[in-house]
Amino acid sequence: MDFLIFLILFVVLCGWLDHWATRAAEPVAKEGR
Amino acid sequence: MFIGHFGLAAAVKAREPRVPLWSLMLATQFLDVVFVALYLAGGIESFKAVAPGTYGEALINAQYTHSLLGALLLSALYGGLSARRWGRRTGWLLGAMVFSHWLLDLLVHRADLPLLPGNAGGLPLLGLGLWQVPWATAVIEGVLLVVGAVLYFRSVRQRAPVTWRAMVSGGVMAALLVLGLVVDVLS
Repeated sequence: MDFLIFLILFVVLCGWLDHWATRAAEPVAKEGR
Repeated sequence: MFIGHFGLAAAVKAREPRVPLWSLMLATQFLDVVFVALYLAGGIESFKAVAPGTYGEALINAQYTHSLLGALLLSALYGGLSARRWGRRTGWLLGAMVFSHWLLDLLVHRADLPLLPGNAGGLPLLGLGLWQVPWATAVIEGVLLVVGAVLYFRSVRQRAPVTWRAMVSGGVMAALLVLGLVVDVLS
C-alpha cells in the first residue's frame, strides 16, 4: 500500500509540480486593438 | 530499495530536463508496478517477510518481472513506447531507467532474482544481499536521496521562471524522498 501511495505522489504530484514550476510565464494580453 | 529508485530519477531529471519527470519516476518503478499487477492478479508474483516488520527483510518471488530477461523485455517495452512519443534518444534513456531498477535490486536483494522468466532451466538465482546489512542499504538509499534531491533542486531553480515555485517543487520532492525512506525503514 505504501508503494502505491508513494508511486502516485511522485509520479502525479511531483510530475505536475515540476511542470507547474517550470512552465513559461503567460504573455500579458493586450486590451483593445 | 524503494526511495533510492526515485532518487535516481530525480538526479537524471536534472541532467535531462526535457524528459518529463513523471515518466522518469514511473520508469524507475515500472518493474514493481508490473509486479504489483501480477500480485493482485491471483498472486502470480508475491513476497514474504523473512523477519516481519523490519527494513529489507523480504524474500521476493518475482520470477517474471525481476528476472534478467524479463527486466530487459519490460525495459524494451517502456523504452519503445517512450520512443514513439518522445523520440529515440528519450526512449533509450527511459528504457535504461527501467533497467536501473533491476541493477539496484541486484545489489540489495537476497538471491531471489532469476536469469530467465519463471526461473526456467533452474539457473542460479542472483542477488548480492545487501539487505542483510540494513544500515548499509539505508546509507546507499540515503546517498541516492540526497544526490537526487540536491541535483533536482538546482535544476528546477535554473529552469523555473519564478523562484518561489522552484522552492515549492524542490521542497516537496525533498520532503517526499525523506518521508519515503523513513516510512520504508520504520515499516
